[in-house]
Amino acid sequence: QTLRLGHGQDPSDPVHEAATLFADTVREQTGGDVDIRIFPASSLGDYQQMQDGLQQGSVDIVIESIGTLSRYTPVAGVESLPYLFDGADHYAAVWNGPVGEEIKEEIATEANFRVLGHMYRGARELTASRPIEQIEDLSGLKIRVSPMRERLVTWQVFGASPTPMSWAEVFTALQQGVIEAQENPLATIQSASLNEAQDYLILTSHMANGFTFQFNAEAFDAMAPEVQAALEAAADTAADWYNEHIAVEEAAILQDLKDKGMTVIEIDRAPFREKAREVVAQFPDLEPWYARMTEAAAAN
Amino acid sequence: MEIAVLVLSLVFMLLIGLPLPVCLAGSSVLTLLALGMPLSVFPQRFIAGINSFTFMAIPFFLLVGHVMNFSGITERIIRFSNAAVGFLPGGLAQVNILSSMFFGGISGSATADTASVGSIMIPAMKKEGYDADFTVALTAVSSTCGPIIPPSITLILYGIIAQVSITNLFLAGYVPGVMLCIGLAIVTHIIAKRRNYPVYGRSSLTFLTQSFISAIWALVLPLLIIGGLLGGIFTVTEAAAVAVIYALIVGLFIYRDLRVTALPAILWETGVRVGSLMTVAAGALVFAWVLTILEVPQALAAWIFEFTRNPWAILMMLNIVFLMVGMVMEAKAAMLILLPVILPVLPEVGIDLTHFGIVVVFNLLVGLVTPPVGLCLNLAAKIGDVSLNRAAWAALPFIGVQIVVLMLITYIPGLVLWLPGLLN
Amino acid sequence: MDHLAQLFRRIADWLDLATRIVSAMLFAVMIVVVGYEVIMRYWFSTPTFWSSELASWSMVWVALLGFALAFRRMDHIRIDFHLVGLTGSLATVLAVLRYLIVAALAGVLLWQGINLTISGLRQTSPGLGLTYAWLYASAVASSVLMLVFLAELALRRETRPF
Ligand code: NA
Ligand code: NA
Repeated sequence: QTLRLGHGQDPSDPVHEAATLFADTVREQTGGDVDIRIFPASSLGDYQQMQDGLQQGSVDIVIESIGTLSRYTPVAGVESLPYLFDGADHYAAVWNGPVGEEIKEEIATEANFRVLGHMYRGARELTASRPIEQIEDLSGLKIRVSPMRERLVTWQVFGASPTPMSWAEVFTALQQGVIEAQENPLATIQSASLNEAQDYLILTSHMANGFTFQFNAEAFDAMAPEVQAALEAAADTAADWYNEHIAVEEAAILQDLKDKGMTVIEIDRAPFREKAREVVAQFPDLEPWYARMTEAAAAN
Repeated sequence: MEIAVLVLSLVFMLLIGLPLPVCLAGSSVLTLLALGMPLSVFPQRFIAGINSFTFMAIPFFLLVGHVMNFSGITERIIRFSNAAVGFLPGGLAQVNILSSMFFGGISGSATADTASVGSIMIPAMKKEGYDADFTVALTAVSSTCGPIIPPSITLILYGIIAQVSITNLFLAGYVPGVMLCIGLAIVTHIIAKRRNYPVYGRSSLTFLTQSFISAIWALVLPLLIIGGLLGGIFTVTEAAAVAVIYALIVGLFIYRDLRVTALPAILWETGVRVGSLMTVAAGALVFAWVLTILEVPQALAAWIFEFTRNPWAILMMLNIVFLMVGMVMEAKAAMLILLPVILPVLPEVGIDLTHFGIVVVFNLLVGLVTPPVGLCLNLAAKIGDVSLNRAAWAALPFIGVQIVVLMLITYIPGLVLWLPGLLN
Repeated sequence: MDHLAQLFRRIADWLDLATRIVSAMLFAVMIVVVGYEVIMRYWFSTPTFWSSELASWSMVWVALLGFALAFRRMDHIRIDFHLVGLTGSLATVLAVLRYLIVAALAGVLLWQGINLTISGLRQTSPGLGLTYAWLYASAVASSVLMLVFLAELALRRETRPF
């Protein structure tokens, strides 16, 4: 049996290494019965097209965040709300705990996606061409965000002027000044060399998400139980490796960006967290989920 | 096995004269059937292939070319070129080249240039006693300045596929484009002297100034586009939309040669062009998806590396491949099929993707003026009422210029990369 | 037979006009929306979130409608230098093959386009807040137009490549 796995990162990205580890583990556990072919760098299409492909059966596995599934089922959008997760442990506790299982069950029944393995990608930080010392400085800041409603509303409430733009255009647009800011995890900021186009790195940590292995739920449930077990185990193995790897990397990346000349600004996050409540209030359906997920931190 | 289905069905459909998008999508659908994969891949990738904001620059620049034909912009460019270089040996021929250079700075497509500049210049040159085959050949080759001097639809497409900055590609295109025009002007000068083509008297300074002022609205457009891009006012796509709006305003309110009642027809005629052009890209995306699934790019990259890792040798090999493919295949389709296979290999051997983009586009330009496909040569031959055969022979010296410039820009990357480096 | 050809000609003429009008309007929407976006972002620092989606979706419709129209105008990009002036039975055989292949492809586009449109109903776009059915319906419209135009050309016994 051959399964096609697609993801959007370059072959040099840790996600690709995790995918390779996943494929090797599955092959080992099934005695070579299941062969996973990896297609990196969006070669099977961007995440929306790959997820559509999962539904139609042209792709078998996609590595993406849960938040990107909000197109199919609004509950998945909870992951894209600001200040939901408080670090890697909280992220893992939520998704592997009862609330996480409940949401994943809803995603499976409502939207036919099975989600395995949780790879914490790190918090998203802001980069800008001008210094942002306090939340008021965001006023009128032209910032590129991924085309998701939750992220749009977040930046509008923060006071910035969010605009959607395809990732391919972002670097040049920042360089020429068409847009002034963007937001991404540190690893992405480094790998895309955004330090060459942006002077300021503002540690907002406004949002965090992670990569997961996504399957077509019906197709997954139809697989032999041994294969299902192997896939589940391999997803966890890959996620464990990724999480350890990233935890070590983050500090080094921040230092590297400093060395390359970015001015790092430690911003007061309290007003941001305040505004985050307003954001959440605009998504009444997600509010109870948000509350339960943040509470998981207290319980932890 | 499935690769055989893909390639053989593609070649068969091409040979029986089916539209390119049908060939690309049709052979992909057959291969999906052979693979037992869902056919929904076809409409999904087909639509995804078009549904991109960056892509929108292509219909807009097509529209600019179309609007120019109705708005009196072309005539004014030619009048000014005439005043500027008409006194040289082979005056009108030099006017043809200079007009194409200016036109290229506004329009993104070579065929638009052949059609509009050609339909004015070819009859004029024939009437002045230029040989018809020379006239047709020069018109066709000089119009290939269009896709290399920005804006350029072909460069936009390359930028999308290769994920490199389109603004940088645009800046990189200037020097090679101007080199091509100068080369053509030199060869024309030699031929004109030998054949005693007519020479005009130098036009008066008043006339030169007058024609310049009347053409200024058109000549300013390239500056507007590049200035807006570098100044951070708009992206490439938005620049294209601004160019459309600008050309409409100039045509409707300043030159007043464009009528509001002509607009619907201009829009839907361009719409048909968009339909035949963008669906080639869409079909190629379906095709590329199937190639990826069959893991052809990986196999080919491995094969090239086994052969050589020397960048100069690889560039020469790719030059030959693209020249040959360009002769039988439309430029954009050729890029969409070949580039996803080739591009991943290049950074590994130290070939700059911006430099390579200009080289690729230049290669494919040659295909516009060589038989059998040669879109521009065909079009010019039709306008000039010359057989394709005679036009092709007359084009030989000009194609020689293209090849010389191609070799220069391939092996002296500085010619291409100097300007983007300077301005960024 | 002639009667049928007449009928299809009239249907095709009417559809052609309607398609052209829709196509021109969507093209105009693209220009206006992108121009508006530049102004709002550069001068008012208030970029819009729906504009790029509206413009892109319009472009998909323009391209797919134009795709169908180009068959009727026999204006597609193709390799046909070796077929120019070809007459006789070979020309007829090739023409029949072309009709069959394009009709089959239009059939696949129609069938799969309907499937995609139905599944698109369950997804909401982030910019416009519309379902993706609006986007995928372009495949359905295009394939229906293609089939009508093909029938008209076939009834006219057109043997040149389209
Ligand atoms: Na141009
Ligand atoms: Na010319």
